[in-house]
Amino acid sequence: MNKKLLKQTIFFQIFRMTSALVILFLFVMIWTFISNGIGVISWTFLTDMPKRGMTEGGIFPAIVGTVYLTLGAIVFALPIGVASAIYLVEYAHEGRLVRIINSAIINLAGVPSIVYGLFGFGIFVVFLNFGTSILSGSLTLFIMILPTIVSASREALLGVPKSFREGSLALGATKWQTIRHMVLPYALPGILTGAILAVARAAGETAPIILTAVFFFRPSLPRSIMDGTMALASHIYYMATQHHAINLVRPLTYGSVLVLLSIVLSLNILAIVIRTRYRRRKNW
Amino acid sequence: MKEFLIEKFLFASSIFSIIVVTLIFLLLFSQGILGFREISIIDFLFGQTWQPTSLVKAEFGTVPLVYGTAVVTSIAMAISVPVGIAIAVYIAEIANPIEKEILKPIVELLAGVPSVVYGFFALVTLATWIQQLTGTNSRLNALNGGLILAIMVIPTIVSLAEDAISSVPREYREGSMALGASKWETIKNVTVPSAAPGILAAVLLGFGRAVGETMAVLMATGNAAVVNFNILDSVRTMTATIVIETPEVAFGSLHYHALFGVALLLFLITFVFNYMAGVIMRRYGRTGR
Amino acid sequence: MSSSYRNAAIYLIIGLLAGAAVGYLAETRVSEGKIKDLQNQIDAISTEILRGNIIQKGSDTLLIVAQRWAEEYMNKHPAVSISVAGGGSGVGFSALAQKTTDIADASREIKSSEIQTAKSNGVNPVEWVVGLDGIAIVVNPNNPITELTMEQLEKIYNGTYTNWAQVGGNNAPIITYGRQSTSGTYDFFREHVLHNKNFRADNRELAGNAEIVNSVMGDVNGIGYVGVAYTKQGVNVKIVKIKASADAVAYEPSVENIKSGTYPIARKLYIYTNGVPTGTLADYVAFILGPEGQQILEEVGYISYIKVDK
Repeated sequence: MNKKLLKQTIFFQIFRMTSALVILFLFVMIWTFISNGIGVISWTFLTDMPKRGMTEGGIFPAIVGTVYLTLGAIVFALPIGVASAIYLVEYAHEGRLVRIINSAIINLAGVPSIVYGLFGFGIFVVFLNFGTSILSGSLTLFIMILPTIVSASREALLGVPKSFREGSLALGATKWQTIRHMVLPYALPGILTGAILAVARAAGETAPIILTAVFFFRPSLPRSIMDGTMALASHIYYMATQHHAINLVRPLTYGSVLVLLSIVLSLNILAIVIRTRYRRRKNW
Repeated sequence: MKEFLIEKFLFASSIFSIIVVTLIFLLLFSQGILGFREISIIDFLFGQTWQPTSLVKAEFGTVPLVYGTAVVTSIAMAISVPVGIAIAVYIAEIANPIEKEILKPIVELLAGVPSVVYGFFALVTLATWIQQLTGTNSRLNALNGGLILAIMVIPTIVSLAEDAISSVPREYREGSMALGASKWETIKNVTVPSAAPGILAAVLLGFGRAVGETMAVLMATGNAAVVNFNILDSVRTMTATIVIETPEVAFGSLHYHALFGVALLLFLITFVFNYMAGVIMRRYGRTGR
Repeated sequence: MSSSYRNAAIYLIIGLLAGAAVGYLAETRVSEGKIKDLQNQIDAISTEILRGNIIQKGSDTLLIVAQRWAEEYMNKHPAVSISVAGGGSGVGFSALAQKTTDIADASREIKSSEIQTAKSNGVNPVEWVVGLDGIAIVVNPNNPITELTMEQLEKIYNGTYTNWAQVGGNNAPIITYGRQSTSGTYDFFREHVLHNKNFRADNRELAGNAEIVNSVMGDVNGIGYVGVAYTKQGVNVKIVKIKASADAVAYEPSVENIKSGTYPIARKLYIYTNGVPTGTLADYVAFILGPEGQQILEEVGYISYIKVDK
């Protein structure tokens, strides 16, 4: 029995160490970015144009570009994704079509982001002739985050008890009225969580926007959705590998990483907080 | 009437996913297949040389690229599978509630870090560590790519495997414990085996993610399209090839179609793995999303 | 249009004509007529306000200077937005042919196949020489090699030589770094050093000049070729002197040696437009070719073509 327990303790400690190691890695990584990047973070860095061949100045156009691209993506993805989930949960009957839709969503979720990039490039940039533009990039990101939104929304809708719907229908409400007033409000936190996570993912994506939306350097704000832009994620890639003085601009690169990481991780934390709260309150 | 229109809109939205998957496949297929008018499929799949712009003889052998993807993915999976499952077991079965409250969100944050950020970390920090430890000359190499990829795949494996383990019915564990097994023996002999299909699905999805990952491996591996069986040597993955060469190769050229061919290959590989994961999940009930 | 612009254009004409007079331009397609056309276009817009979007795409070698041109020009004309992208000369030409860029930056001449593609899309590529560049051969500072002949360089990059001892260095494998295939530097190097033969199969093809420099900094056995401007700022690599033949003098890629033509791996840098540009684009092209643009070019590390005094 003692030997048994000893073995158990050893294994449990190994597992605990493994978990701790991964946490440690995350912290070491984040600490690397903070310690190297915090020095360049300033109001000017956040709100200024890049200057002197991007060796000085700020990253304002990249921040704005990331915001535009992700907003564009979510504007398309949220209505279509939620609508799709509503159909699947509330209207569709189990059958061949639903199975095909489900497997389409699962596969869409597994498509590598570079393939989305190539698709966006082929369809939006070239075929529809939108060029290298915010529109092309947003549409590409929209397709990429669609499965995330559908899955999250579907789970949220499934979490609303059947009795809510039955009660409403019994009172003479139509199906849509029921969904609108008795289902959606309760599914909202779940949908919101999914949407926030999707936005975070879109903000960090690099490969798809390199092929569809961004320029190496564009020190002015976009004036329309047909303009190309800079974006944080691609800016980091360019500064880390393509710039003519990689080492000279390394501090600025760390700074840009820190900004992107802050945005993306804050969104993730926000999503976690919303979900935790909503789970605690959910006691119908 | 309004109800009818709404239902039609909802229906159209849900069909959209099917349309997109079909379009992606059709685009890759139609553009990729054009390349095979001039490149033989045998040469494409088994050719040893990727020299798409050679003036002597353009060669489109994907072996070096598939090798690059395979070696980086293997390193990543060799690390992330045991580590991922260990963490999943720890969270689901061993951790006290406080540890659980800390670990779960951290794994989620790990999943939330953008791949370009991982790539940058591999490029500046991890590569230096590896170079110091091994004394290799190629700072950027397959090991570097594999390690960073392992970190990126771990959250996928942990969250799905943890779902699978947690959904093993409580009676299984209680039965085992009642027979005098220790907690560890129960985990090893009852809980994990019962969750095996879900864990397998998690591994398959992790594999799909690893094969398709682009920016981090692009920045970490050095991108030499050669096969020389040394993990401290530089490799070039399929995804890196697409992102390096696509931006705008001469439009409609053989090279252009060959790149779509590579993307098609990539799409099919990930499709197969996702499909298998999907089948397993469906067959063995709810083990995750 | 401000008088400084007219002056720029006049300077440009004088400069280019002077160049033509010494015969340097005779071998290119730059003609007096083209410059006059550009001048006419600039005169035509003199009353307009300069505004609009310009996209400039292509050579990674020119990226470093293109972003500075864009930046300075936008400082003077805030209503103009210029977007700059790299990717390689081939990328620029293909974008020009697809009308997805206004200016194609190139570190090599356009190929006849590329002209054909462009023409079939109704695009007429017009060439403007903007500067000269030497391709620097770089090795790790700890590598004892200080000079190479063109033949040795060829054999290193085509895979004949695989050990540094074969060219008088340490007994260590040679790791070659180079650009990816869409790069003009790749094409130029292949044409002038490898005589159009293949690179060795294990050549590490990186997506930018800067990546090459950085890799060589970290690899004692590495060798790379990059536009000379990429060796100027914040890097620690050794530039190898190059000899045209075994018994020739070895030269480094200095401004004088590139101008005089004694450095063997030098080339012209170009921009291409669709026809002779009009409106704001004409003004921008004149800015690039004029004294301000050329000064920026020299600051970055390339050599102004107008001032070539050979």
